[in-house]
Amino acid sequence: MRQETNDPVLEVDGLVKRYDPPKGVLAVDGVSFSIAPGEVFSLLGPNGAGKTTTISMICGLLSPTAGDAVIGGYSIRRQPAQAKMLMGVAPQEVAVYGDLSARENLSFFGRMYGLRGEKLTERVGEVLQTIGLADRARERVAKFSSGMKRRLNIGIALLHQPHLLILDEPTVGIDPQSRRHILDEVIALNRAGTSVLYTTHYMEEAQELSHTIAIMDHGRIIACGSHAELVKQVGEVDHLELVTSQPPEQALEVWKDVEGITKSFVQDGKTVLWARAGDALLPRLFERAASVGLRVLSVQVQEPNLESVFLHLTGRALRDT
Amino acid sequence: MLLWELVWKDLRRMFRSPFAVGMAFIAPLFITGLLVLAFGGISSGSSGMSAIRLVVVDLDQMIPGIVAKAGTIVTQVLSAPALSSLFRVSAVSNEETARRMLSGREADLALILPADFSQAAFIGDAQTRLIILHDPTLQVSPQILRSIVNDILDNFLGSRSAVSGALDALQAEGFSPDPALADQVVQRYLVWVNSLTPSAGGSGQVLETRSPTQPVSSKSNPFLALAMAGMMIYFVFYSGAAASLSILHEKEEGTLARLFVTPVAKAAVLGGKVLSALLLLVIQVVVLLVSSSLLFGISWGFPVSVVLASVGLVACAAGFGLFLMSWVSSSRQVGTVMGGVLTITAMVGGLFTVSIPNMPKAFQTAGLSMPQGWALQAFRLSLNGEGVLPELLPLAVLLALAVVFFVWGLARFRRRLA
Amino acid sequence: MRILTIIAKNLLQISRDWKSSLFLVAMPILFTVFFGVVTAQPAESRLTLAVLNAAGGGSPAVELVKALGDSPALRLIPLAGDEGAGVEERVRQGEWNAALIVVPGWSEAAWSGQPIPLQLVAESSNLQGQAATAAVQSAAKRILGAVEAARLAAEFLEVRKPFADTAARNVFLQGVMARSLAQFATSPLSVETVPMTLSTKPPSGYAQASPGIMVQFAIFGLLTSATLLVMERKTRTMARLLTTPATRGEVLLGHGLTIFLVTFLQELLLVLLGQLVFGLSYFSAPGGTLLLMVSLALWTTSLGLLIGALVRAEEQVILWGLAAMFFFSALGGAWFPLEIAGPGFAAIGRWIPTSWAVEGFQNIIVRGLGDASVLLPSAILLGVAALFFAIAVWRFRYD
Repeated sequence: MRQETNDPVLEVDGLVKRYDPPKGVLAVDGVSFSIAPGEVFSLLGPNGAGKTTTISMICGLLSPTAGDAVIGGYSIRRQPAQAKMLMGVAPQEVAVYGDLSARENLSFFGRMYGLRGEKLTERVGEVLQTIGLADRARERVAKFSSGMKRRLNIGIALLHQPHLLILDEPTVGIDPQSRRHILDEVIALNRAGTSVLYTTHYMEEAQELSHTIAIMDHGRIIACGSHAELVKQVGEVDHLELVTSQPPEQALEVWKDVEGITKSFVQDGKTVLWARAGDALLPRLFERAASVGLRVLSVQVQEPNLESVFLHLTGRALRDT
Repeated sequence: MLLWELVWKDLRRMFRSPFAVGMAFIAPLFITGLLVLAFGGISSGSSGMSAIRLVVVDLDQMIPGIVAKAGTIVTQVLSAPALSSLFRVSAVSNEETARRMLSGREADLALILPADFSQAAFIGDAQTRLIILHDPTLQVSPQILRSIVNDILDNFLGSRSAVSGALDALQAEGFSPDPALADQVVQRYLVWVNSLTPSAGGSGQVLETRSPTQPVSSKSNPFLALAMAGMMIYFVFYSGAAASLSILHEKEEGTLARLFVTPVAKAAVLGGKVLSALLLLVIQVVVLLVSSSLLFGISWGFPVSVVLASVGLVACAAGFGLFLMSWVSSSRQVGTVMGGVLTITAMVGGLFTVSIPNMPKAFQTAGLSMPQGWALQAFRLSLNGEGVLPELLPLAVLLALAVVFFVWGLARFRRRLA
Repeated sequence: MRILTIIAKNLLQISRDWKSSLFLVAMPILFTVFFGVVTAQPAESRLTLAVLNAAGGGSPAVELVKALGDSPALRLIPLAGDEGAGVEERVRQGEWNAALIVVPGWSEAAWSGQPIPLQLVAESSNLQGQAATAAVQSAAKRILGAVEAARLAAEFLEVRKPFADTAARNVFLQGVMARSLAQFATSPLSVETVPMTLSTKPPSGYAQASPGIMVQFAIFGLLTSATLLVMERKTRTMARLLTTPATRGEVLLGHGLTIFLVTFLQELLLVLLGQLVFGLSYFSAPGGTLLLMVSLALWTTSLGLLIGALVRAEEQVILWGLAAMFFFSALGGAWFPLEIAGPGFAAIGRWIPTSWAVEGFQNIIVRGLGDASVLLPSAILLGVAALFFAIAVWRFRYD
């Protein structure tokens, strides 16, 4: 099924979704990107950024107000059947039949993708192995733990060996162990040659998995590139997090006008300061603190990360939104 | 105070669900409304049926010397204004057309008056049959027509036998037959007939019929009231189950576990559920009793009897609902219990057949195997205007059942939630 | 092919759910038997009439009791004088259909030309009560008519030749009355009701119950099959299906055909039950029966899709399913013949597609008509089905 070319697996061109046009909510506002064969591409953004709407348009659940998505040369608008054959989609919320067994679920969806006979049996067996449910294959899914259901949810998307695997927030609300299992699975699949479109609002996941990351906010892609490229946008800025004996707001007042600080704010009960040369700044910070009787309990100096990129671009923290 | 908070929360949630409100208040009134639409006529005194489309095929031949024609008289009587709410009469010339109209559903009944009708009616020397053709699905209307036609024929026969009786007697005494005399006898006889025929302005009465059931209010229609009682009981039992369903819902939502980690006693939480179920049902019964009495003019009986019947119903329905739900493992099964178990027990309890007259007695007895049957019995007694005393048996049974259901159901829930 | 896979999956799910067997099989059979028995004509078709003759031996009273006893419609139960007190209760309890009390002085009043009414206890709101009333009324009028004839004869004779004494007059009156009654007894006139049917079997209670319950439970079955549709949307498996190459049309068709198949199989079960167990003649017009079954199943499917399109939660399916069942069954004449309903109700009923389904089946099993007799009912069902389908497809939400 897989063909070796260097043409992009997915090419998204100017996707727009406006609900109830012309005055309704503009959920996606001109999103374009492309995914090369073998690439893991993440859409990172806070809840409500438009990630799921974008994905829904790519996999044909929503019709775009404008723009198109082309999968392996097939437009989702004009050749949906062919385009869908090349994609495997694992939706954000688990979508499996609770009253059927894992094997029955896989067989059913396999048939939907045109698999039949021996090929179907073979693929169902392989997928059951891959997702670690081979020994529970005959049990009704309703009895599964939520981690097992998530794995089956992804397994269904793998059946027909798609060119492009679309995973919409696959790790939301599950335990760390299952999460690790899923991330490892994605890495393994990618090594085997599958391209992946991954959405998440966990920057660590995006950072670990992706070749390319697109940061979305308010329906737009506000930055796109490799992790290193994105971080470079913030510049060589260190990221200091200080915990003090007094409330962080008070500490902020004390430090905000110290020379060399480019940005200061309070986050998670800590005072956060950005500075060009963080190490050099520390003595001055302690000095100023001592002068007003402010005790510094802990200091952490961090390199810039995706969080800083998002903050830099939107003025908001990723996890707060 | 705490208990009240729990009850208040449950009641608020129930009343915010359009589904619960629909099933508790609107559905029983709606269905009874349909029945009123269907059978309302019975209460207003008319036949309660739509006018029967009757075609008359009058093949009757005139007899020389007699001015009247029996066929014409029958047709006239049937088309008289007194019967216009019953029959819409049209005439056709032959049986063929009548049959065609019947099979084309343009008419419900056809009355075929034979050629020798007058001969048989006035002279009596021929045997003849009047035929009522009818659609085989019609069972009531042909009998109505038949009894009316029989009545007309009886008047023919009666006047003829009066005439011949008088003339024979006079002849036997040596007087010669006299056509003028015959006419006089017929006229006198018909005056007498009319005196007994209300539609002809007669005030005489052959029969004084009274109904064995005597509802307290004369405007109340026992048929409708029973139907409404059946519907009310069905949906009160439904709401009883729905109220206890909230235990399952809260378990699945996780709020029940959350309540159990607060200092509130488990018994108080369950007690709150029971209390809110009882309150909901009381509200439901009161609303249904009052609104049905306003909407359909149902008079439910002496206040004390109504209260006793209602208390029994509410207690038993709430208990039964709790008991039923203690056997349901997840809210996914609820549809079955609501749709299936409650419907079957209601059916056996006689709720759906209560308004069918002359049900075999065995059905009423069988109905008492279900709690709904006893609730129905309680309301039946109240509607019949029986006093408090006969009401005590069903009330005692309902309360006893309620206790059993509550104890058993609560025990099961406590075990399940332990 | 994908459609077949969807149907197979749906049927598997339905068969996994134990309540399907309850809703689709057990309850309709139970209800058919129940209503069939309830509405069946009792083996003893004569009405029971208790008679208390408090008038004593006066000849009109005796003749009345005798006439009632001769009536083919009545079975007489003579009561002793002290049994008069409890008759209301016993009629209410259903022991008798009616109770007649021939009041003291009735015979004398009749002879005097000023008849006093007989007392009858009968439920005026039921058919048996009404029939008993009519039978008693008719018999009483005959007796009174004979008495009146005798009185008239005596009156006309007396003008010409007075009776020798009261005894002679009485003998004369009795004679004329007896002759009159004899004339009634050998009446040359009779009325016969003839059902216009080509069927050779007499209609049974099941002729109403079998098609009626079939219609009712076709709708009731939606609680199972339309729930599947709503659950599929709720669990988002429907949206997931649409990420596969399956089209919206295929998904909708797959579910629609599932409902159709389930309904049709249920109908088949009930038709076979009616034919083989209850002795109804569905097979006398096999083509017509089949066409009507298909039309009814398609209409039910369209209703199921409509409910599935308009509601969100599973419990709403139950509400709307039950509401639709009550509405279409009652107004469609599934529970009782529309004949006995009020004019407004019957008029509305004629516009309800289910009433046409019942009518179509009865055309075959009661009226004994052929295949062609279901064409109009089928056409109406299919027309309404098309309308429902159109609304369902228009309003259908897949996510």
